[in-house]
Amino acid sequence: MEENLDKIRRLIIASFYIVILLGLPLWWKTTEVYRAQLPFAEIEEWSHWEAFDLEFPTHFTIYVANVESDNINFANLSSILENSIISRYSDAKVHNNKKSIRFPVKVESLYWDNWTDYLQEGNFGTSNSVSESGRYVFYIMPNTKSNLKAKVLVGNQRQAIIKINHWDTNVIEKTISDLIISLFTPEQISIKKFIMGPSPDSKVEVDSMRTMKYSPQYQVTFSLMNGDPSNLLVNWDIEKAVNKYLQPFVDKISVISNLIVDSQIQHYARLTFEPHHKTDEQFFSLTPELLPHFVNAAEWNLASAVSSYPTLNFILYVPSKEQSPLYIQDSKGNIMESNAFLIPRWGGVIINNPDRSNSSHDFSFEELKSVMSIFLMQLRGLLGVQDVWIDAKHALDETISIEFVAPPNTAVTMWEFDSLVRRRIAENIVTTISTLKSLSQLVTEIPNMVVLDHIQTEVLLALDNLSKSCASLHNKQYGLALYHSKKAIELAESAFFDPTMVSMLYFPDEHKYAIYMPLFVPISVPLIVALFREIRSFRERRN
Amino acid sequence: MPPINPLFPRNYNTPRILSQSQPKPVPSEDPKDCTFCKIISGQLSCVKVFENEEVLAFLDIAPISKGHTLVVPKTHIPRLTLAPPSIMSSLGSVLPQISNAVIQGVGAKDFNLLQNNGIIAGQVVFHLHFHIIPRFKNWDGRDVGRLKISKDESENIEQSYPKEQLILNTSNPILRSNLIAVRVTTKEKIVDDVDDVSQYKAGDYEAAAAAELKKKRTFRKYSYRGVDLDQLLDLTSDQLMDLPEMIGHYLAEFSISYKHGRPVSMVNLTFAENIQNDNFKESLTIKSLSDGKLLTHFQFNVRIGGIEEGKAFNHYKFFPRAIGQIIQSYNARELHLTFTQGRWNYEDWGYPIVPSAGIGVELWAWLWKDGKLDENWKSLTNALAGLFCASLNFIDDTITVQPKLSFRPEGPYNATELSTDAELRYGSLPHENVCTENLTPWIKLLPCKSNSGIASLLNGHKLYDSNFHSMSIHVRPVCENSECLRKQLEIVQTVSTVVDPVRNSGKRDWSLNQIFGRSLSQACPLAEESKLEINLPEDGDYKLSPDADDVIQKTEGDTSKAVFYLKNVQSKTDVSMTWKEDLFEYNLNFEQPRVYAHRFFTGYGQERGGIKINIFNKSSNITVPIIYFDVIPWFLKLYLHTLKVQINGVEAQYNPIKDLYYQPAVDRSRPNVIEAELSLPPNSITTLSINFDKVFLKYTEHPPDANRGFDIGSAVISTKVESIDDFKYSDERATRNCSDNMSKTACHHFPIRVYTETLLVSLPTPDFSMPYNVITLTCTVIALFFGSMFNLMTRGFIALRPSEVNEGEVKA
Repeated sequence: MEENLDKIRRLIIASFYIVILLGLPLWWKTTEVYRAQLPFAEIEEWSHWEAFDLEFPTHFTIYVANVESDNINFANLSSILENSIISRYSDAKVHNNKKSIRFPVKVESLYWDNWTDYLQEGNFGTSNSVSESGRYVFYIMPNTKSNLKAKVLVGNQRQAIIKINHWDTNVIEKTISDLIISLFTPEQISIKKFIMGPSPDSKVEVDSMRTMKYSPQYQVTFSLMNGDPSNLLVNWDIEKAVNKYLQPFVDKISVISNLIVDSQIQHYARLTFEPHHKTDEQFFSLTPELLPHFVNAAEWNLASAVSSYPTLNFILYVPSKEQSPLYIQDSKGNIMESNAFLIPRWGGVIINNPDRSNSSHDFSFEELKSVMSIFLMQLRGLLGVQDVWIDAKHALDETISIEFVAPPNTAVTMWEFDSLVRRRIAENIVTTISTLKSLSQLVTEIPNMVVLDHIQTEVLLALDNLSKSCASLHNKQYGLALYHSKKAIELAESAFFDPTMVSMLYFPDEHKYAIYMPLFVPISVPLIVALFREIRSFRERRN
Repeated sequence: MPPINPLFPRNYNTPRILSQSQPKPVPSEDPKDCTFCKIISGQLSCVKVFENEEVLAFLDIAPISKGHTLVVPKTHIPRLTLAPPSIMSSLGSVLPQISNAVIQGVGAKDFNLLQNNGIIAGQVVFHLHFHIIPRFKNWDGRDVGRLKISKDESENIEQSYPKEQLILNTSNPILRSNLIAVRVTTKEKIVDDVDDVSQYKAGDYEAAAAAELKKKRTFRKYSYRGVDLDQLLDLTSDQLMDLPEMIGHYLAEFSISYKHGRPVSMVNLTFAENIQNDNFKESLTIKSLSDGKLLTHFQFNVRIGGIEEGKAFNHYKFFPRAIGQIIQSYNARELHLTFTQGRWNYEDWGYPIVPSAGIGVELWAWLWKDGKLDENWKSLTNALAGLFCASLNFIDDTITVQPKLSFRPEGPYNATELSTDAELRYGSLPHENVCTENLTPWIKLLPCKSNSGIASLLNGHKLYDSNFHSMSIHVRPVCENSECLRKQLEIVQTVSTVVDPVRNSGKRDWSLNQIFGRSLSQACPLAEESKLEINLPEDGDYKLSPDADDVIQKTEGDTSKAVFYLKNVQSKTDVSMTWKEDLFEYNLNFEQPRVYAHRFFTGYGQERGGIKINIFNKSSNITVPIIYFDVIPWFLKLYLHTLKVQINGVEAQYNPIKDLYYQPAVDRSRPNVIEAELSLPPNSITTLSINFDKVFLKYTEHPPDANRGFDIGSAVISTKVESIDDFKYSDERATRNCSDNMSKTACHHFPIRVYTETLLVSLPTPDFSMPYNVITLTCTVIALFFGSMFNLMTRGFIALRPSEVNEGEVKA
């Protein structure tokens, strides 16, 4: 009888423990926050560069003038060139076995039969026009003048004319590979920098500090700041100037980022400091140390009220009578002729000292030309358009003289545009990967974070777009690659900055324990005591 | 055809530079050969413009432009560097006079003053001289020489382009043509003395030299950053690359001036085709109220012209960019935002000049229907919240309503178009405290900020130390003229305050310094009109100092006004008004406004209550039609069947409600709205009453200061639009959208709104520690129950006799 009772008691205690053991996971599950499953493994793969190969293929068509003296090895020219360029590319390459990035080159050489026509009539014909990104055409011909140097003229489309003085395969090979290396190496260095992370190369560092972070849209605001309207009223014909001078650039660059342009006039825009003034000088000056304090962000209504996209500000500053004429001095104390400066990742400022003989000054369309040209130069810098010619000139040796055609009214040559597209694609891909990586890290590290289904969707779509972008790159479809990389970065950023990710939890874990403590502790006491009793009596019985 | 380098063509038909190889004529520097000395001595004749002991001015014989004048010292000085200070001072002192005389004489406004020294610089007559060259409108602005020549030359350049250059835009010719277009006048050197000299028949030069000079004259010489531009063209490409700094810097400049193979500046440009008639007016009105208080009303109107609906405008002159962006991004047709602190006392003060006077914040906007109107409204409130540092973002669905009769647009509108194209959203936050944080961004929207003009009187410390304060922004389209073919967008910013001078001194005397702590300064230079208006009381012995610039005599329904124009104010001026009285005596027989209202709660306890509103019509013989609009939050559950209307305390014989819109509340998603069209009989008090139940809110729905109670926004009594003619603002400024050339009937088309008091309702408020107490208590009870049940189940009760106790212990 007593044995039977003991058995029943043990069964009862065991059943309580079974209920608790079954119930705890259920309680845990029902009080948990919702977390959609993210593709952590895939993100990990991307962040270790296992999922893809990044490559930026370029294709060159070379028209070689069909000269009678047949001392060039035309049949092998393409392969010779290809090998030479690829070997020189890889010389410059930083070896990193994990992150693979390639710049494949394809060269095609053709005979150029009617080159003499060109010489006489200056006519290429329309058949050779190149409009595809990543495809370039070189025209090679012998130099008629007995000049020692090879001459290169780089057009503002995807073309270049090369004049060789020694009509010889080796010279052609050397000249062309020199040229291609000089044109593409700076860009490749900066792409590599994006991918490999910061490098000690300070020059590139400065460039990237100036350039805005990529955004699909920028607000570009032109502000005419008048220091003191009581002496001089100002106005400007900005609408016309923008339409005429800026619009072609805006249209061209809209493939990469949209620019929304507006303008305003602000009066009583005062400086927060007194500019330097020497008693023996008739002017006021700003030293480089003062320039960072120039913009009075608190007073000069520069922020956009609606746009969440980054703003690029361009200020035409007219100093007050008490502070004019106002000039910018460089570190050596010389007055800078442009009287303008650029604020990295923010915008540009031009100081203008107009004629004060009248009580008002209208910046005419003509007058704004020089102003807009400086703004346009600054805008190019801020949007990351790199001057191809600066680096190319330095890279080439003495034997080649190179010239560049000025950009058309879009202010961007196709060489620069293509280079920007490639750099932005690389930047977008790298930024997307790092954003996704941080997101997955964050989600893993903070167990209380809510992850809703739409976050999961966005992450999956971002990964999908990443792979599409890489595939398009492989197929030389730069436009498509850019489109997908833009999509990828937008999706990744919107997932990362989604407000639901940072929402306040109503019952964080600590509260959960605090609230259930009054229940759990009193209940657990008799259960544990009963368990101990049973264990003790079990031991006693065994003894 | 000669062999051409296809890259660097040189097939110009014309010579390009001042030929270096040809022998230069060396003009003599001998005073005897000096042409001007002969003119001065009278050997040669001239048209004298000015003469004194030391200076002579005469017209150039071969003028570059009409009125081209030369100014020379009578002493022979070859060049500027050799001029003694005394001569320079006498020259300098007359130059402005002569220039002024010359340009006025020929009717020009602008002119060049030029001076060349030395052969390279283009000096030909070696006697110090200044050119005064008047400039006229048709001057192309970049050529200091003759226009005709520049055109010829540019044509030459264009013709000389080989075709391939147009395809590839090869550098050099374009560089050249663009450099011509670059306007660096200070760097340009001209050879314009040539004609001056060659025309003198003195024959000091050999004929051959003169001919050579003439030939030279057909070319201008440009230099740029120390590089002769013509020479630049002859540079080899290698030399060109030595100038990368220059080219790089102006790359963009070249590119933009280059269009269709022709520099832009060659294209004849017409300016000011579309004059944007932006204008800005500011005014301050000061009015004594019947109880001795003083109303000050600041008003700033900015209009932007040439607005087409659906066409974006992005270039702002006076109009604040922040507001323009908000209006355009969220597709708003009209926007009205008012911050008010304090209650407007209708009975003593009459109608306010501000159209909105409900306590707290009131926002209403007409938004275009574009498929995402509600999203736009939400974004609009968020953007304004950010801009004005106010809690406007709390205007959510539970607060937003769509009035059906009140709050018609203030701009011109067509009723049928409006209902199909746009919708109204209204929200108010009666609990919002207005402070300087709201005023600072408001001031930043003004064209002159608070730096000059009447805005400089806006002193936060004084403004908020007042009985009533209201600050607003109204944006709406207005007609440019009475036909209304073209529309303008107008933003009206107002600040109204009521201060009490009697409280301090017992007298009505006031001065600007006393009210604002500042005095009147210069007008805002941007303002078309900047004035201070003082409404002159009809009775009382008062004195205004200083004297007003203008006094506008009393017109119908308006008092006389003294006007000060700030454009006439030179230095800081304090305007003051003093009464000859020892103590202000309250006037008990003042004229009361026709319609006003009071609203209050009835009932007691935490469970139910009622709202009652008394609407007064003080007119002795006119029946006034009005619209009553009230928004009651969802936590008061109204019973429509309890809505009663009494006139003068008795149940109305007929139903005075002509039309009634009622929107019942939905818990936690929308408020109650009552909108009723009533007509008020003459000399009556119309009382509306309705009962409600109070809701027990969830504990999370209470604000942090839950025991303070909940604010209920003002009820709004507005007059019907049709009835305006016999019931309108006495003050014209209040209607605000009348331009000078519009007839008054056309522009008085929005009504007076009368705001009642806000109400404070206290709802049953829980003890906020209760949920935790309940949880703990429940847990304890469950634990106790569990413990005893568990013990009951696992422990048996065995009855022991006392004798067995010891045995049992031994056993254990």
